[in-house]
Amino acid sequence: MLVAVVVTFALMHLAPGSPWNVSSDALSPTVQLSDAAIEQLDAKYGLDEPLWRQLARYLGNVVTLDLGDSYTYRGREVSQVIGESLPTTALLGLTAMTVIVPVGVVLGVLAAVKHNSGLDHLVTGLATLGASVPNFVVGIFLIMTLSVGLNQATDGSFFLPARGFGLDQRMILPVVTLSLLPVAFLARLTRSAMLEALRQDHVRTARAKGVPERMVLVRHALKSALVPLVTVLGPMFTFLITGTVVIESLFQIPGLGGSFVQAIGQRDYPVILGGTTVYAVVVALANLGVDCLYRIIDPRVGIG
Amino acid sequence: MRLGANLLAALMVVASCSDDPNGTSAERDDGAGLETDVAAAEDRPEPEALAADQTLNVFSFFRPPSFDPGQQASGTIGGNGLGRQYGEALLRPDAEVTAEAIDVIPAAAESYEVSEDGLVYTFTLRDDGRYNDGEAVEAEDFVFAWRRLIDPRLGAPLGGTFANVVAGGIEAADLGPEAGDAAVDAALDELGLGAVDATTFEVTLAQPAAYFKWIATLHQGAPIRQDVVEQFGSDTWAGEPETLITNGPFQVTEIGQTETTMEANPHYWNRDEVGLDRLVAGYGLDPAPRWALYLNDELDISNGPPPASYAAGLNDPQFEDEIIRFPELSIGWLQFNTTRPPFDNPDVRLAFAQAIDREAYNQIAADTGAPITSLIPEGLPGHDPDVGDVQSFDPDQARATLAASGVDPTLLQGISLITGPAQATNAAFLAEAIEEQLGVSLTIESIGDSATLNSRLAQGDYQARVTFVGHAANYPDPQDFFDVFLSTSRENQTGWSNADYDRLVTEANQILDLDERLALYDEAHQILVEEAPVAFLVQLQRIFWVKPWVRGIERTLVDSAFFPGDLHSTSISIAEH
Repeated sequence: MLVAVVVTFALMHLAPGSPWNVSSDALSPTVQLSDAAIEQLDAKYGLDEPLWRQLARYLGNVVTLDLGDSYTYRGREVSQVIGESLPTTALLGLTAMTVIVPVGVVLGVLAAVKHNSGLDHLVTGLATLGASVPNFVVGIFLIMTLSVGLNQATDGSFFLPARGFGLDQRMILPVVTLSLLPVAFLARLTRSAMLEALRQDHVRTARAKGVPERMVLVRHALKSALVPLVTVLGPMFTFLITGTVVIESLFQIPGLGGSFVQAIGQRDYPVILGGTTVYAVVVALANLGVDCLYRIIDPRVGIG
Repeated sequence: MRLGANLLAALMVVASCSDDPNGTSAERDDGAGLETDVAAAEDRPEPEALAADQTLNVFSFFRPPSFDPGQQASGTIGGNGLGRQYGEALLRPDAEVTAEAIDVIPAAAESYEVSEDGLVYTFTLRDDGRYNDGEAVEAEDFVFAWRRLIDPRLGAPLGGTFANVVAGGIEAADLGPEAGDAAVDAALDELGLGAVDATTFEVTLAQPAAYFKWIATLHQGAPIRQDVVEQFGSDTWAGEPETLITNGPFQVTEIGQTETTMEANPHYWNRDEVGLDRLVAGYGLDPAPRWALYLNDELDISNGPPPASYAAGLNDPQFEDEIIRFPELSIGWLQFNTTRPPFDNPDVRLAFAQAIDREAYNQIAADTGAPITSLIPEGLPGHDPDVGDVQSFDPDQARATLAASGVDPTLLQGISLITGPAQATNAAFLAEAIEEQLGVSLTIESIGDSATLNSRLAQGDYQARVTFVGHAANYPDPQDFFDVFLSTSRENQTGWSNADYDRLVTEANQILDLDERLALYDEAHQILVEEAPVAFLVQLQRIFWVKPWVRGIERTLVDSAFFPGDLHSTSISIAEH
């Protein structure tokens, strides 16, 4: 985590541009402050100190959980910016996870069991489609059909909202859009892992012993297929928590990804560093979680 | 049928996903220059019945970085325009929109007087001016707010605009941290700002400036209460609706993560005339979902479809009564770094300017703009298309100018043209045009990160650059445009300086009579066009889609980019629908 912060700090200060002369969006003229005003702001936020001292001060503050003040949003603390947006992003990611894991695994298992059947081809086809169509395309398509299209077709009586976020129908379009690629990925992975598992000796033994087919699939084959699946869940979770920038922008969801990307554009150093720290924590926790899961599904994995 | 059309629209949207409110990749819909068609929305008959819910839903692109009116950038840009709804300046631009008749009308000030020498402005505040907590607006609140604007420690985006005119402003604004707080405070005490009594605010200018009345219309100069700032913090008082004490027609009631909600200020002096009860401004830069919201009636005002389906939307008879369009006070240009070869040679710059067919450029560039070869846009006094004749498209002349420049041909090789990704198509067009007319090939460098682009421009680390909006008016006075090219201007990133131009503009700025001013500006204008630190290209147009039930839009020349009629929002109401 320390490495992540130090590297980010270095990259951030290597990038040209200053937090004070930025444009609010790509098409607006830049705000031009006087040299005196820039020096005053640098002094106020400690940017006039040598970089090593800035870094040391930052690290010292982080230890006390003080992430500093945002430069762009004058008067807002970084912890406030992150505190407002992280729960939204996390909720979106977690909801997507609860869709992705069952759907992906069930599709994959079905495809493996009915190997080379129509269903298998359908799942493989969908998986390829899901993996090759970018999610913003899917998102816009869904907005234009299920929101605008339905609205006009039903004369405004029923449609899915295309904006905002909350634990209601506003969740549907973003979660579907976000889930498509991971579902496709997980289904393909499950399919191949299951095919592999079904060929293994202990599955053949179980079948030979007359264990019912459903038990064979769930207790014997799926259990050994789970190991590679769990391995990808960690990175996938991280992807869902961090990789939602496009979805957030498309559905106007106030998440961490949007704040973070904007902060980079605006050279809002404290928010960039704060975001990196939070991401580092999330990745570490996700990996820890996966390691714990290993222990549960595969007793051979020991602790220590 | 509709569903099918939407599918098609969705696919078209997908084809292009950059945020570009001007629809650069859209096809051009007509051959005319700037057209103004506001009749559709402005002349709608008075409604027989008003809707029960007087809520207007608009979209402001981004959340304002600060809700403190004094800390906001130009009100024509995105979320910064929200401040106009809750912060009322001394004066307001009149809704009359012809170049001859533009003037100011009273707002927080009931009237103002100018001394004979043009140096002292005395504003008489209205007796019934109130903040949303019911307290009276007093002259000392303006003194406090304007001090904050000029205080270099606060770095207000538009601070320079005020510092340049108020007596003692430049001296105070130029104090860096080494001067110490005491010196800054002392300099701020010396500013030409005074509260003669509770309702008399007096501003002494450093030099006469006829355009000062426009600066007094900027919402950045809205009054701020010292007691509020001291109690809740200089940076934080404006962060929460409860402590954001303001004097405008609306008050902020919720600062959400996706939208800001404002409600009519119950204590506003003109409360009875305010039609709307609520004003909701969403944020988001992506044009596709924004358009979907408009189609779903979740937005009342939109900037139109995303680029790929923009032209189709503009010509769709379904929207005929919803579209309003008028010239925007902004100019796009190709700018040269005049400190580096080959553009340190004025003839090379002029040759480039003469090699560009603006009509054709406009077709790909902003399909709805108008070609222009001079600085002052249509709508402002001093606009004169003939001034720019020397920059007009003339391939033979361009080649002759280049030949006469005597430039070393090796310097013309490998010229780089930098631009942001949204303007890459325009850059490609220019490169092709210049190659065709002058045989000079340009390489295009598209820079995605705007901070990097800004820093390279500021440091002069470029040769040429193309932009949609070289300058957009902060207020409708030609001085706002001519000042850009002063050698001391921070906006002038061409490195160009011309002593005659500086002298003419500085002199004109101090003249009170408009005709006399314009005569000097004309001379300066001629120098600028001939010296060509930039090749003027296109004046953009504002185009909005407004739902038929929105009544009473009264636009000015400087409405915000997301909300036509925003400076006169008190007259807007929602008809029953």
